[in-house]
Amino acid sequence: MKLFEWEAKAVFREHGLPVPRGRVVKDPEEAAAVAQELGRPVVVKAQVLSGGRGKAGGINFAGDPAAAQAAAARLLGMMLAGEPVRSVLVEERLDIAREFYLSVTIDPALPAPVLMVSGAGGIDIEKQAATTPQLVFTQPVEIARGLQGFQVWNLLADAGLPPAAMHQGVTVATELFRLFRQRDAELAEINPLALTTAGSLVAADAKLIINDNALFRQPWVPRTRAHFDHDLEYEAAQHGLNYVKLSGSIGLLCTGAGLSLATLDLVAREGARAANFLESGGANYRNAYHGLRLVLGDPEVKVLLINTFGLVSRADVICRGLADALKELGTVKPVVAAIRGTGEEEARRIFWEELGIASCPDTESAVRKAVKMAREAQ
Amino acid sequence: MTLMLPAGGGVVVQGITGRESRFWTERMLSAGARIVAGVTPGKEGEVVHGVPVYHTVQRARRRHPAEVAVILVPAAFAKEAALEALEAGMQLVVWLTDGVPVQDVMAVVGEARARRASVVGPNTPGLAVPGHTMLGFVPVWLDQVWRPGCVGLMSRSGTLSNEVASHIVAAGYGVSTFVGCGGDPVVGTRFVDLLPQFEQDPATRAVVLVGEVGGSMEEEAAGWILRRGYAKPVVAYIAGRTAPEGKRMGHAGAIIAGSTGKAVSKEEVLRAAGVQVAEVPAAVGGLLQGVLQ
Repeated sequence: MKLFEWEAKAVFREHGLPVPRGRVVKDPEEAAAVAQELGRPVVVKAQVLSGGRGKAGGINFAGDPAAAQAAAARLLGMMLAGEPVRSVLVEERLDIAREFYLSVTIDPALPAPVLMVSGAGGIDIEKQAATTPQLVFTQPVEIARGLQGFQVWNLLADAGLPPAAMHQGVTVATELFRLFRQRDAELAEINPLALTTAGSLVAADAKLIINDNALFRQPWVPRTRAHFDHDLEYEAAQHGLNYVKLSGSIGLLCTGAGLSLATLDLVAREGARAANFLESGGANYRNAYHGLRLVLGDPEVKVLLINTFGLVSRADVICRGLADALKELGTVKPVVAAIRGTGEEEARRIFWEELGIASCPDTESAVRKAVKMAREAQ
Repeated sequence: MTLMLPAGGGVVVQGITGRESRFWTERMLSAGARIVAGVTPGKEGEVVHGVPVYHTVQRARRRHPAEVAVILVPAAFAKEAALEALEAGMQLVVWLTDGVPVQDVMAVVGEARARRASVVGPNTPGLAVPGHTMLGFVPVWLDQVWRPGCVGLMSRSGTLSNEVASHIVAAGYGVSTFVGCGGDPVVGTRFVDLLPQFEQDPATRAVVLVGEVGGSMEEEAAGWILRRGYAKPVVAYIAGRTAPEGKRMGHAGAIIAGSTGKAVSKEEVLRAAGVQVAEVPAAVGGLLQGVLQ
């Protein structure tokens, strides 16, 4: 779950990390009021989850409240990388002497959290790591042992943090790591970490991604409509479903992420497009109902393609749920199914006897049949 | 002895008394798994399909020699269960649980490394040696899908492994050992850990790698093969060529971030390492016929 900058900064503030003074607002008058309160030049920043916001014109400087109001009026409602700007963050403008990069991320190959610092902040760190790796300093951290003070001192000194800023830098990096651990983050990033002309470090930007698998023990994580790209994706998340809205005529309901991905590719190979990606996880009766309701409710869908390979989610349990849901939803859209795996005989019997749907022998033949039917339905 | 499995091979199933666990315990037993004990705190004295249940792994192991733990407990308790298995001295932990917080996975894999034990998973269908044993959720009794044979199979996905296994069987071959690495970004056993084991395994003549978008496990495998050379033919299929960027596609690990993790770039580096890449799952069979002539 990726958080907005203003949400990430609120978390940073709770951890005592230095962030600029300011507030998130939803209308231009409020933006002017915040600038008035701050009593100095401000920066007005569009709150979107996608990257590349600065280049797309999502960050504006304003010298006075009227300019802040104008900037907010321009940004609010604007589309940035396909995402509507629903709110803007109005903050004091920092007098920046130098920018650094600081993050805690995961290296899956180790596997371990890694503290990463660069003397060149405000940049694309992946590009920098690829082109000038000598400027990026990393410290893997053993979870059982935790981050050690000397590791942070080594890293920050190597990255060229000025001696006068070292004590504060060590505090910031140590606390960022603590935040990463306590909040179950996948990424906690400050880019840029600004060294002001007055000599103190401030998190000019903040990025925080919380691990989806840990949301059960991180109840504070916001999951509003704004955190999702599409109404259907938001609704799916309410039912614990991973649904991705695509554009096409074939509605997909598959079991297992890998088989869902492969089916998506096969539909494209046949020259058609899938309306969605949906992995219906678990041997869960209710998931089948909500998943089907979402897929069939998409007006783009002409044909429903069900592809199951029962493992722990047994095919008979999945198909029992799907058959009941299909009956309850009373769809008129044609259904194509390939049913295999654990409990396949019973699952095929349910589909044939109760719905009159014969299972295709394999994925390829089911995909071809669905594509043909979708063309006929156009 | 089989690839990955410690000699002796007594198995303890943690979380054995759950409804799904009972079903799969029965399936594992009939597939040949030597399950000697089960664990559920508070259920000591019960018996599941003839398997005695204990409060803890340590108590089970006092009575029944065992080296392998199969973990079937919910995500919120999965870290503790895995640490319990490692502390009790298990050499291999098959971590089937889906939805484990990534920081818990890192902690467990770190602990396993320190104890020189192996972890497969989490979020894995487990592993199987058709005709010999099965630890996890692999329907080895479906003989159109799984048969004993000479092809080593490793995968990040459960359902897709079955799809590919069915094409291996349709091409006239079978599977020597199947290992599901798991669909999470952080897992205990990666493709690079399995490649040398398959290379040394006398029962394996060729290796099939089933990957997907996201992460770098396929790139690491290609790099390893390129550096070291590989004594056996390798065939790969990568799912997700048409997956959009920046979206999590089912598995926590299946996400394309910027330019990294794309299916086509994985296919390119694998080809550069001499790996035969199948465009569709069904093509795996034909490629195997080519390399195993």
